[in-house]
Amino acid sequence: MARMPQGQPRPVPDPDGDRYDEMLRQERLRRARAEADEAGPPGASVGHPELLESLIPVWGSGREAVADFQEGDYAGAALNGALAASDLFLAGAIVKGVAKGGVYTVGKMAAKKATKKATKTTPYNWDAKVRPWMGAQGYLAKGQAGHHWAIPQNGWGKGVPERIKNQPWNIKPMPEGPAGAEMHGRMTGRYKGKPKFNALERYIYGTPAWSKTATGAAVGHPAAAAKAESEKRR
Amino acid sequence: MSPTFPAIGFRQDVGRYATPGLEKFVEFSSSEDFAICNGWELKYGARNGMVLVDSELRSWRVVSVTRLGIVPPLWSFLLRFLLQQAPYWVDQELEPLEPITLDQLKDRMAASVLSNPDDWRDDEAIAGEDGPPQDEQEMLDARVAGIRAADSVEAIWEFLYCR
Repeated sequence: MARMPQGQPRPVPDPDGDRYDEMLRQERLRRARAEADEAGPPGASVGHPELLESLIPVWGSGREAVADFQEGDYAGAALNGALAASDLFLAGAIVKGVAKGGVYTVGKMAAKKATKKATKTTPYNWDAKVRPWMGAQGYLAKGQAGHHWAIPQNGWGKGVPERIKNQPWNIKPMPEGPAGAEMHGRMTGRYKGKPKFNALERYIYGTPAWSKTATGAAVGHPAAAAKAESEKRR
Repeated sequence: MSPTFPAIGFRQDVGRYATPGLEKFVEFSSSEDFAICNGWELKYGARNGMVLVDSELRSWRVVSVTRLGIVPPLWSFLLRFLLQQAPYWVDQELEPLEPITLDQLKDRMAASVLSNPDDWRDDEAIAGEDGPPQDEQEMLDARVAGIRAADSVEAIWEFLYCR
């Protein structure tokens, strides 16, 4: 609009003005689209791992958790996050176990000329050999009972060689003090007037944390992988 | 004069979880057995100062332990090295002590059993896994009674370690 000398405005015809406005609008739209493409679509994720990748401890479930979270699947993210945490716990348990010796071995039998007397001994005997070693390595505290949780010492476990069943992996430390003695007693029968634990109680109190975690991981990883695969197909 | 076997070694409790001043005993079934020491024992000096009582009741004190080399095979050594139980041949310098009587040996072993209940308890027997629950003290007393009933070092060794 031009201002005339008398100070009164008056319209001036502008045949290209509308086209120019339209051109500017199109240009703004084009730029907005380009910026959006550069930033990625809303809710973009790192992507889910492939089936085999999802089975890799920590990495598979960790990536799955991040992808689920970015896509707004918070339940899936929580499940996979828990799986990744359980993998880390298991790895920590293995490292700690190895740091303490992990497996009881008998060095004395390595002597080339083992005598008849040496072969008479029971080198993996629980109370004269392995238990003192486990105490010295810090697996069991003073006065703390150790429970053979997977392979019992007696019953069907009698037929299992001592070198297999008398090992740290098969020993679940009971709580220290009288409560631990009672708990150990109730694993296999009545103890001082108290009833035997039921199957669930025996599982809760009688299996090590790493075993429960491993069970969860063994079930959880394939389940999470199957869930991710089915979501991919959809 | 070399020790005869089986022999019993009295040593101090050592290691990260040890109770200072506590005496424990270990068995050696043969001279080869005595000549091997694992990495953990070497690290904590478990054999240093140990009193060895042989099958003829002669006794010695271990005054020094020198590592000679690894016990083959190599793969077994390496595997057990990772588990901190690597076996080494060792040379031990022994200082002769006065011989002791069988009763003195029994007394010393009995005292060690009673002061180290954790080393001699059968947890499953106490829990009653295979019969009625056993009393821990009665179990230890039975071990001491077995030691006292033996008529030789070899009989004690068989009672404790050849079950």
